[in-house]
Amino acid sequence: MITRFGVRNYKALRDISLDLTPLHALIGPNDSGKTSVLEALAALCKSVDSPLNQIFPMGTVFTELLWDGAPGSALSFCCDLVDGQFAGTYQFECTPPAAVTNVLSARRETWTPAGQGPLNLFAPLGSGATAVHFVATRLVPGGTDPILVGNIRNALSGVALFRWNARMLRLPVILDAARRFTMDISGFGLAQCLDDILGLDREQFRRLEEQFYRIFPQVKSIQLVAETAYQWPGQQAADGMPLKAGSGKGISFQLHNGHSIRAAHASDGLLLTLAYLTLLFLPQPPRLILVEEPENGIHPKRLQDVLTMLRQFLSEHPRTQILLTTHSPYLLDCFQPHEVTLCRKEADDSVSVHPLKGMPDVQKQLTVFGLGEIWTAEGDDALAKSTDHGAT
Amino acid sequence: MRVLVVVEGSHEAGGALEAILGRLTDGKLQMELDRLANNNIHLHHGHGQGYYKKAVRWLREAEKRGFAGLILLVDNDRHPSRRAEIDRAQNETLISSIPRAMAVAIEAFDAWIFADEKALSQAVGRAVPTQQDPEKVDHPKKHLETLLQQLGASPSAALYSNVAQHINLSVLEKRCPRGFAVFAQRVRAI
Repeated sequence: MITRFGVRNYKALRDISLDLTPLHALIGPNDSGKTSVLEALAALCKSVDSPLNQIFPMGTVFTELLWDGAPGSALSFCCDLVDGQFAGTYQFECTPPAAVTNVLSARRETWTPAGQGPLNLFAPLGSGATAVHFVATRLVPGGTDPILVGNIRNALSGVALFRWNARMLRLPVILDAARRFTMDISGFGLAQCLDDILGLDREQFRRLEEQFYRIFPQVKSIQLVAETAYQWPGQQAADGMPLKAGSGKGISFQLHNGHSIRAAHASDGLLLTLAYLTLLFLPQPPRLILVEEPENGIHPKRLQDVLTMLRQFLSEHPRTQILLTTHSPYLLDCFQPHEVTLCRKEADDSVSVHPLKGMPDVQKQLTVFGLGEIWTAEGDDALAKSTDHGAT
Repeated sequence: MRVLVVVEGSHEAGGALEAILGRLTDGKLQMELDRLANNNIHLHHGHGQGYYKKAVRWLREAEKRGFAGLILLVDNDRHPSRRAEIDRAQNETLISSIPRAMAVAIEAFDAWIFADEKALSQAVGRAVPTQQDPEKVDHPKKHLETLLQQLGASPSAALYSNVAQHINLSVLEKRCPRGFAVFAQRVRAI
């Protein structure tokens, strides 16, 4: 689990560090850097098993990623992580080669065992840090401790970022053997994921169904039916091109009243809840699940069911971590202050982060109000100013 | 002393409550009114004791706006726990220590307007008989409307304000011991 995360020079994240919990929420106004934090976390995790050109969001150029386009600066990502007995600080840094703006080719990874490094998250080499190297999925020959590299990779590999889009969750999918047990960022691939779980372990699928029926008791069964489907979106979706059609599978819900609803006609809440359950019932759930605004399309009460479900899952899978961004006070009511960080833009357009646990006003008001109530009543600015820690 | 006064209805906000407060404090208060239902306050979105939370939220709001005190008056409206909720907020000091006077009119502020029939008589220009125990009238607003109709008058903010300026506060305290007497004692102590 990542217990602390730091970023330098990534977009508006000029220099931040924040404590993380197994389930953590980022709050703050629009354009306060929440999404950038998720992207930076994803980049850090991907740095252990992906080539540089796949670490950052598709189609970006380096100068767009760098804080204020500052020439000569390095993008730095750092985390304290604990994975069983294995603990320490991993740092990933990349620097653009001179005169090249759209390629990242220089990279450096270091590891500082817990208790041996300086308190500063960003440790300079030679201060207890060991250089470790990941290039693509291979180790650089010579000099690197393969056990150490394996441990770091094992602790950070497997990140999934979601920005659910109910329209994409609904779509039937042309089955693709190369994408088993995966959904893309929008949730496209849900039908295939379910089909993969069913094919691999019927009992696991039954457990998923049972949990789903507890939330939606009107549903009698989840069926995967052959129908006209769509190919994985990839670049053509980003370009606004129509998806290619073919034969595949879609989702259908059989109801107790005898009716059935195809996914195309099902509610957003039904599909989103199913998407969460599917993630949690994968044979190998992602190590780090990042979700942007999970409240979209879900009734506030149902949202609490989803949170309960996620907490239950985390209690059974302590190696998984979930980080959400949210604008929903109803969702925030389900969190404790130490599980929430407020993001805010400063006058120089850089992002500052403020843990709610350090805010005396929040602690006092919790005797009467839920966290979401306090947040909406006090406002982002007042909360940020009230923190003892100030901008970090 | 600059205080925030929070009220529910339009009649008390139309000058009547300010008149009563001015008389209770010998004009020492500098008052600004707001409505309990002000949507900008983001009171709550669900669970818990609604009026307790509303009252505590207004304590915070008064502090945020820089007031030296808060006066909050709400109607009981036959609610079994509203007085207890407001009393609890009156005694809440963990979240806010701002001086406050919070109370509940039984069953509504309108009862105070017909509690002293002499003041009401003066305001409408006709003799008004002594009314039944004001705090035992279930629907004071309706009762007052009917009474005024019989007298050829109608309820208005101006009439409420007129009565408030002439009302005998001692009579009001005696006739409304659970509502006005508690409110008056808390306002004088603020």
